[in-house]
Amino acid sequence: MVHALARKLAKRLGDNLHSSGAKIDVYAYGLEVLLMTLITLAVVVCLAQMLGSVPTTLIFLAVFAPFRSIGGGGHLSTYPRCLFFGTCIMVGFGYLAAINIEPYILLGSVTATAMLALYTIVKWVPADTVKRPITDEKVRSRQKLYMLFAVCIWLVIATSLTQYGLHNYALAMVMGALGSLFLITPWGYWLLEAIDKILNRMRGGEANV
Amino acid sequence: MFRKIQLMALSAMAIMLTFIATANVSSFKWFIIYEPELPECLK
Repeated sequence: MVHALARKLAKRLGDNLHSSGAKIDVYAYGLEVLLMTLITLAVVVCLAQMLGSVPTTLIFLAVFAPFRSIGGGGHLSTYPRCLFFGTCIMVGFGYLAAINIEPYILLGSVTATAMLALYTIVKWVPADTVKRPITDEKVRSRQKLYMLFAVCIWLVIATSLTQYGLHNYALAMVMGALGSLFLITPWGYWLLEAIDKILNRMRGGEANV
Repeated sequence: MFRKIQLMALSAMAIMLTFIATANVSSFKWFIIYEPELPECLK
């Protein structure tokens, strides 16, 4: 539905500007990404507002999004599945981050997550897909370096928040990192593939790529 | 006059969409766990 709407709007835009077919394809792709991002964010923020967990959900997103953007990870085969599953992850973890947690457990979680992140960087980053494979070794090394930099910043901020007693915000940061790191690992790919296979069996659809 | 403003707004939108499209080709998506089909000219 979003794809069809993006194509229709892009065609209208292209017709008005007398653009070529290739340019209309680019507009459609840009519009599709923009609409999907806006819809996802709107649904996530609305649900978080209803659950009263907007700050922790936004902090979760502030970690999840850049980690995923740099590190990559598995994908679902259709946007409605992405919207449903992505919303569950973002709102669910954002809500869970509001629980009370002991500082020493939190500090242990931050340390364990940092170590897991380092292992993931060495082993699996960048986690590409069939639709967008990354084969260039230079690009792969650069992505690893960027991810390492992001994890260092994350570690400094998460530790500072723990020290200043903002435990829920630090926990949201831990969950954001764990959520995106999980989707980078083979188990994350396996889970998304399993979801796709189950839903394909129920309704029919394309394979996960 | 109105037509000129409309054209300027549409051109600005086209530039923004082209920027979003090209920026998304070289990086993973931020908030969505779905990869839309890439147009041939961006592959």
